[in-house]
Amino acid sequence: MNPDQLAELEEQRRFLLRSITDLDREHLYGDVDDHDYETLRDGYTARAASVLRAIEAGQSAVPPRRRRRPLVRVAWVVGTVLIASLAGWLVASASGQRLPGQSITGGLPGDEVALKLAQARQLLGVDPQQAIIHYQQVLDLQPDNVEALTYKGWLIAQTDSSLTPSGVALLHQAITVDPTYADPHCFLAITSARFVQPPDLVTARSEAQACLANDPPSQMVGMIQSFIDSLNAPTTTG
Amino acid sequence: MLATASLNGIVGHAALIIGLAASVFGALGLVIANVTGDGRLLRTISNYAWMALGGAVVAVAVMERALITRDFSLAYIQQVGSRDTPALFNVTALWSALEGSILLWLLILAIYTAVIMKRNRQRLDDPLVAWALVVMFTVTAFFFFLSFGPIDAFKNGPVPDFTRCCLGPNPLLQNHILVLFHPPILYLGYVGFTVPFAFAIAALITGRVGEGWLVATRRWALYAWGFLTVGILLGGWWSYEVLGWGGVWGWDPVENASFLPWLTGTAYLHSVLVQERRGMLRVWNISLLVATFSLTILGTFITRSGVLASVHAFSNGTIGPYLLGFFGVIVAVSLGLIAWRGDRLRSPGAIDSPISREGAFLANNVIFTVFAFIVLLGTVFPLIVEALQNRQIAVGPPFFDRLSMPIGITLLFLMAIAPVLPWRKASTELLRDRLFWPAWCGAGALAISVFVGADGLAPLLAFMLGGFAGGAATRQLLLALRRQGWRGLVGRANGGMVVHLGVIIVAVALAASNSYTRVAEFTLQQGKPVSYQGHTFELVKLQQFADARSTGVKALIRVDGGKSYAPAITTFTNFGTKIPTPSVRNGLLNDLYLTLEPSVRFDGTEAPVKIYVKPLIVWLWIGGMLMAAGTVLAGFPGRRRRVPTDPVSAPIELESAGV
Repeated sequence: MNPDQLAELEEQRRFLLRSITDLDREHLYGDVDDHDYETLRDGYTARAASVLRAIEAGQSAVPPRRRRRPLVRVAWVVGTVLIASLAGWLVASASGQRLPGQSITGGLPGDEVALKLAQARQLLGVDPQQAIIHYQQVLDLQPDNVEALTYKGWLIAQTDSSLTPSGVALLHQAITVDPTYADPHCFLAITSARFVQPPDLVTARSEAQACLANDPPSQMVGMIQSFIDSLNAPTTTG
Repeated sequence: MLATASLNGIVGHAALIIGLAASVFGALGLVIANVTGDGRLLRTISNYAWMALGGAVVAVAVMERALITRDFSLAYIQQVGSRDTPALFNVTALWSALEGSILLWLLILAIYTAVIMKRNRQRLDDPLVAWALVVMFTVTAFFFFLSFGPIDAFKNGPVPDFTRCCLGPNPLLQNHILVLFHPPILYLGYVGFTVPFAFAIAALITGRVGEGWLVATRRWALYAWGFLTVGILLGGWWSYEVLGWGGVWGWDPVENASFLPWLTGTAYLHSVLVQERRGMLRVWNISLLVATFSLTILGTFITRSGVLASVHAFSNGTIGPYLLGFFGVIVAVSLGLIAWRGDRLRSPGAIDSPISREGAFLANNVIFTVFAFIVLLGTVFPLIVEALQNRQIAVGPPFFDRLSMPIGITLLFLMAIAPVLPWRKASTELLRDRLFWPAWCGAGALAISVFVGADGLAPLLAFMLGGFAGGAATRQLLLALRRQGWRGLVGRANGGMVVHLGVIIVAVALAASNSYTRVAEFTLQQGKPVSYQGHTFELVKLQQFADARSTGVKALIRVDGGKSYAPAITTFTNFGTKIPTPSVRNGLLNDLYLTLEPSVRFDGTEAPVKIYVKPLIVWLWIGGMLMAAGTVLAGFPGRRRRVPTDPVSAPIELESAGV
């Protein structure tokens, strides 16, 4: 046996013998109960005896290689892959566009609303159903969020004619929360003319005017102006 | 044009270069002395530890002097110093930005290295101690190098233009006394894990990978964990008292960076017992220590390299590439050493039964590791996506909340079961006997929760398991107290049970405050009280205030017809930012947390306020104190062991050990 191996065995012996002494004192002071004391003392004694025998016989301290259990190993690998995949899928589905000033993780409750709104905005033209779900999540956090009320109302009003009244109700709710926000006026105008049956052209005209009066986004101004022109144009028949 | 070099800058640079040289010579000298067996060289090594400590002390003292005397010739003082900052926050400005934080890290590391040197000065010829100190010196040298080179903590700034420079520390860091305690205590924990890591690496290098090195590091790991725990809780307290959002934990990357080493450190503190008692999990324990130390470096990289602003910005930053490189070296060297010593790391024993103390510790380790993986994944995922796809994304709190809830519940269950499980194997009768009273405590906790109106599956489960786990910990403590009187509170197992009680209290308080917080916004008007959640709130008056650094307004609000509380909005004139300062009425059952909204008019008569009613928040801090006390109690056996008989280091006779 080389001196390094002997030194390791001697250190192991010192550790085990000291552990027995420590254990006796821990037991004496009530830190270890009787059952554990017996079990651990037997274990230390057996290990110390084995190390002492190894020193006397000049053997290495390296324990024999244990028989591998392939099933256990496979179970660990499969478990690890499953947990990693699940966590990966969850983190991917829980992430969204980062807004200016937003932290890469976590955040205050206000940030969560901003994050959900950003996710919903991204989905607006791509997957309206998912966008509706995100807007609803915003409303769960902030029932009076005017953007979520407006866009959820606009999306569901277009989705299905049976849902149009619910959409109109949400747009009215948004206008009540913030009458100066142009978007619900614009959407209510279009919805009243195109999706409500029968069309309510009076509301459409007044809301379109309200939309323009409240400084809508620039890309919406031309669209609403054309919409008003189309409402005012003489209807041609036959 | 640069400002004229000041005495502070010159002395600071000199201190850092002396410290760097001492650390490098210390590491090299130890290696040479051990390889050649040069005893004379070995006897000089301790001087290098003292020189490195001296360098770090002088560097920090000089930086503090520069802050206090407003030496605006230094770039760092221009960055965080101000003529208007109050004295206390001028001192704490040291750790309010990168350069000072690294100096603080360096000081603590140099102190730890000197203490290890002093305690082991007679054992420097022992290769295990020598290599551990080589690792300590190397890490110290790296941080001296960072401070002196890439960061250049004492570099001269441009000639100050006082219309734009010298604004003082971030307003959030000059608003509460906790900034004096939170960062240093957190760093004591972070840096403390360097010691067990150094001994683990030394054990791998020397091949003495048995249980001997654990004895040298047992208490270091415990106290580093204790400091980290207290530091994290103080951070939560600071967040609650200063940020005005009513919460203690938001899963932001800085919080996650401190939580990751805590998770792996906690796993280590449990699994190391299995190695000591049964000689198992050797590779696992070394891996956990490597993970804990490397996560402290990775956390520093994440929070200090500029990578949070943009993945692509970090390479332009001052220390990002160095920290990432150092992290890579640590991981590569550690894994290489573990692979090299693979045969010797084989454990002699095996778990006899999963229903045993060691089985429970193993389950605990698996769960803590999964938890750490989830937090790490959530934290680095946006960085990976940005690096690969150039998309800036964020991972919101729901990801962390959704996964941490079942993990927390499982850990509570394990905390109930593990303390009553015996080593090796448990019989049904023994379990039935030992779990009888804890189970009744769990049932009682559930009944009381339902009786007082608690609802929701997750919080009720948390309260029930909290009662169950609390019963198990209390049972263990009562048995020990009955046997030994007050001495029954000390020792690793019993101190550990006190820590468990603290953790349970924190878990229950978190479950209650997350589930049952109520919040509402009101515009309060003088003379018109508002009722909410059984309390009345009345605006007494709005009061403006001003000092050299800020102006603001506070709303005096009388609560329940008694004492007035004063949430405020402060505008720091140097920064132009409005900082809300909440006002809190603490109570054992709930806190009333008042914030003044930024829309308040300074000359108005109305106060837009947000009122939070948050249950059991005070118990977070009480639980934290109990955890700290338990950590101290768990570290006691060594001192106690010396009192009645011989010192720990005394040789042990075979006969006395009964072999």
